[in-house]
Amino acid sequence: MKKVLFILALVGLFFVAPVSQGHAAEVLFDFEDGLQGWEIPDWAYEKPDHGQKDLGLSDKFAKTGKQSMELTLEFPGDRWMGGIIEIMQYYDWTDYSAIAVDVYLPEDAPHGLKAKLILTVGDTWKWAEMSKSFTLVPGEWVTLSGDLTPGSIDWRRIQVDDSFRQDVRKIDIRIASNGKPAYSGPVYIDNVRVIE
Amino acid sequence: MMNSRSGLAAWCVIFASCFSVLFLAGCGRGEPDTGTKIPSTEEGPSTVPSPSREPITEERTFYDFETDLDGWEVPIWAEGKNDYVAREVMISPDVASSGAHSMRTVVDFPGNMWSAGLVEIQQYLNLSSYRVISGDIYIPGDVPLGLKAKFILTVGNNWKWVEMSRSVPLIPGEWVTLTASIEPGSYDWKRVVPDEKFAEDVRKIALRIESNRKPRYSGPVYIDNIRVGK
Repeated sequence: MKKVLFILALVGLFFVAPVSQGHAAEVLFDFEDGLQGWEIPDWAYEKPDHGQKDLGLSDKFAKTGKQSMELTLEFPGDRWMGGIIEIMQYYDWTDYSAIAVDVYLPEDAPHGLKAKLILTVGDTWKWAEMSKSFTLVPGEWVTLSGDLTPGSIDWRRIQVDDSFRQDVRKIDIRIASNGKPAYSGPVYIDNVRVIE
Repeated sequence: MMNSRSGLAAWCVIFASCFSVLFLAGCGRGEPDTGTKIPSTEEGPSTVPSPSREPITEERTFYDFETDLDGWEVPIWAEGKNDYVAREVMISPDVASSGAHSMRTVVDFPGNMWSAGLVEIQQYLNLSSYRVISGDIYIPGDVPLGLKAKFILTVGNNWKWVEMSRSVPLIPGEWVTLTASIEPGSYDWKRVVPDEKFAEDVRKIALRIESNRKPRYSGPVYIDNIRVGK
């Protein structure tokens, strides 16, 4: 009898856990069929403190599926440098509470690189970058996530209200080295999603 | 004769004392408190009101460490320093002041020298609508007495390092709440009296656990429920 109850409990957990654990996510970009509009913005090529060299697809690492986006960086390590990519697209995320993306740094990369999401929102095309960065860990996928709900503290110099997520116009992802480390090589980006 | 002279001298002293007290107080009994001229965070002298003494009635937890570290880390600058002894940080189910997890950092205080374990988050925050910042800290029951803790904020465009003017003793086996006022006029910060702009542009929050030559201790320290209140 105990065995039966144990098996029933296990089966119950199998069905209940996925529902109770998390919120449903809608994957916006999985990079299985191409870059889907992601690019290095023209202005970033002209900035001396930006060191993104190339953007393409890769099957070396993937968080989901078989491919991810590969961004090649060149940071000399003697000053602040960023590498940025973006997509311009209009979104209404009223039904979603968060945005997330997974970033992978190869195992032989140095410690100290950081990443954040940046949104461009509203009629005034307001630049809203995250109020904090996520430390990338060599050899691991790190999830960057930002709270989109009213009152969120995840966005810098902006009072987040309901209108914030109603009119999103660009998504940017920026990898940065604040003086150190020096790094020349790729980072991999996958599974850009919004979460209910 | 001597007695009358002594009495006169005594009356003079009393009169002078009363005059001094009234003069220093601005002869202003009954006038509203308009604040004190004191150095502000960024610029020269300015008038800063006194912090409120009303109770905190509303709190918001920014970091509860239930699912991840939310960006808290041992900073890279502390890694190579002999007197900074926090070596790792992770979430832990060992103890929690709220929920089921807390942030655990492992420290290695050698004793015989001042040393500290520091964990921090770099995040741009506008805390101007709040009056206090608080956090809970726990050390295991077998840790020797003597460890203390304080908040350190980094604020403003010049990334000013502002540490609390006092440290709070940690009690082995108990959660200790560390609270500091971030209101204009607060005296909780060393060499800085916050003005209106102080809490508008907070860029880092750090917690530093200190051993001032003693005790010697190697092991975990737990931090939970970093919050603001108004």
